[in-house]
Amino acid sequence: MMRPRVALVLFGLAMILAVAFVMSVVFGSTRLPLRRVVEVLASPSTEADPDAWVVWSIRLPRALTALLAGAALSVAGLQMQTLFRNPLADPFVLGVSAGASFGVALVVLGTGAGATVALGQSLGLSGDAAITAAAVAGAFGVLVLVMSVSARTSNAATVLVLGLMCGYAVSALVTVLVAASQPERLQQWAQWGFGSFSGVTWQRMQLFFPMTSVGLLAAASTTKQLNALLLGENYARSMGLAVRRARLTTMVGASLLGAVVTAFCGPIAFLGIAVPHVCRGLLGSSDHRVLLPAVVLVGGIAALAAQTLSLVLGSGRVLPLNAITALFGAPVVVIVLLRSRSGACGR
Amino acid sequence: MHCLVVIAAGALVAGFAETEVPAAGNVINGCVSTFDVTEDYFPDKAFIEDAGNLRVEYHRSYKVVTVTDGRAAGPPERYVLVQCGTPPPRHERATQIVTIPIGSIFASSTQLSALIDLERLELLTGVPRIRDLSGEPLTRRVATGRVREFAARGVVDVELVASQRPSLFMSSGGSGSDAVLRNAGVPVVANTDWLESTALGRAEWMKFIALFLNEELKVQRLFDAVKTRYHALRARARSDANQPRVMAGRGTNGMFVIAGGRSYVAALIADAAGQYVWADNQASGTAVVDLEAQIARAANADIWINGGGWSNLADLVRQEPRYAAFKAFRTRQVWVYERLLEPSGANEYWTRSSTHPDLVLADLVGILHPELMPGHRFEWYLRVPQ
Repeated sequence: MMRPRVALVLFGLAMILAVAFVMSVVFGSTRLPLRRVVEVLASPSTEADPDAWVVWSIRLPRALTALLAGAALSVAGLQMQTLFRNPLADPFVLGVSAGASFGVALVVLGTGAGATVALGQSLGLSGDAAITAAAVAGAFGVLVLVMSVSARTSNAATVLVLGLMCGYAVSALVTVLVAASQPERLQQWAQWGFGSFSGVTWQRMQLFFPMTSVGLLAAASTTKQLNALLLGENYARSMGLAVRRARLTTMVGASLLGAVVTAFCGPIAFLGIAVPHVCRGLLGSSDHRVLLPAVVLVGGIAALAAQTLSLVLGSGRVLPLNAITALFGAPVVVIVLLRSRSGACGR
Repeated sequence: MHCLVVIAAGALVAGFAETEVPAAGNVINGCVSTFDVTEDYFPDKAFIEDAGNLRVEYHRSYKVVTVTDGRAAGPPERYVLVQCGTPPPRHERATQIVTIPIGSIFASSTQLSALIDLERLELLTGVPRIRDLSGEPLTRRVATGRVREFAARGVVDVELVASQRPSLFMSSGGSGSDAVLRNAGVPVVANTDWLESTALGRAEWMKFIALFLNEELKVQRLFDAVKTRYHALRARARSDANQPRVMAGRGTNGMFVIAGGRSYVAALIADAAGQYVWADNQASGTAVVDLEAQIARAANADIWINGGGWSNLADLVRQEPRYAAFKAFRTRQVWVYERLLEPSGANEYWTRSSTHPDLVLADLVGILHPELMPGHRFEWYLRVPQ
């Protein structure tokens, strides 16, 4: 049975999430009166009404993207922290973010990458869709590499270092591409690195929604394994858990969640590492059966809040999402950690 | 500046007219054989009228060129250009001393237009990347095999430049390689034409290049002609009471890269008698705004210019379905400067437009006020086909 305090916290978080979602549809970089937003939502949109475009094709998909991305990154972060028993782990410890960056760099910076561009065009991809495809390909490439090497070791810490090394090596290749590219392309590259929930249109949502949802559902089915792993691998084994397999599936699942979000939204660094700590602090518990739903809710709230803040504070100009998440998020994490009685960056 | 030159010329007439007959014109090739301290070696002079970032001051055997913002931290850059065959001045503080007229130059692709206009492309011996070049004069020059690539991988290859010893290396300002090259004995000057806020101001930097060639006579004529045509086109555009609303730029990842309200693009739109939707923006280059902000501003714009990378209108919405929010897209008024874009990615617009704002303006007036330009043959612009 769920303790009443926990149930109350989860209910409160769900309410806050709903409010955050509504806020991010009502507020944006331009000012639309609430009545106008409701009007536009209620009536079928016309092609020539700019307000309808803003609400239906920009704010709604953006809010949904923020919610899904925030939840996905936070859950993946929780999985990695538990798996590696390391409070600093995030969805990208196995190098998928670097892999995605490399794929995107090839397409965006494209010096001498005529072949890459041609490939994109032959697949009927251009612009943002090509970037997403390249990011997915890069992330998968690195993941396969790390997993195949780590199959030779049973030590989790070794896998962690392997992922880190692979990430560094791939980042070095990105640096080479950056050094060799033209200024106007660098601008697009920098844009991608800022992170953004605005690039997911309804068309791309048809991929993004199922991919993140499946990943989240898969993660939900691993709570028992994660709880067992919390107590150490030997204990987990004595409980009858196939540790190797559990570790492998969790790592792949978490990395894929991170990779999908990076592909669609750019590298978003802070949420995955911070949200699990906030939730442990709020709930005073490390039980994944309650932590996981809390992480989904807080992840969604944090991403929506960061999204809305970046637009409202920027007033038309775009403040990088990555700057907002860390700038406003870091103090929140510190406060929650210091106030929570356990105070520990629980594992 | 006018004053200074008038005084100098006056002194010349009053003081030296009897002793020395001034040379027929500036020395365009080679050095002077004997140095006469009383002679004005630059009878042909250039005057800066529109460029805000550039000044020139004439002395008898040298010129002092000041670039107010050379993108290096610190005071304005002072270049002392000394006539070959005359001694360098001892008392002038200089960021760089250059012996003129120069015999060879390494320059970026956007700086080559002046050399083409002055018909002095034989001086060009180095460019960042050959595949960025297009157009008949440049391809002919490259075919001679005398043009080296100095930044084929994006970074200036300082060893190559130092070994080639050009008489002048023209940078775009603020690059770390500038100081390294100077230490290696290569004269480096910064061409920051891209910081000018008007197209004419930017075009006037053709004089900056001409100063190193002693080609003042030719460049004054060239620029005056450009300016006259530009003003005539501007007057013609303003005769139309109708001022269409114009948006400029392209989107990326839910954002939109606009031309700043203080950029030369915004100035060109205003001179073509258009209303730029971001005219109140403060940026002088480009700026990034949220796509939502762009839709709020530009949904009803009549004309969309300076996007690019699309071969037809279907490409636009394939890249970003929300482009359909723009009226200019729905009414098929999307124009790009890619008429001369080559499969290699080279675009003559980039090498030639900087010194030809008159041609850019003619295209823009042709787009914004087609009735004023019947039968206009577009130089660079192209309407994105359906």
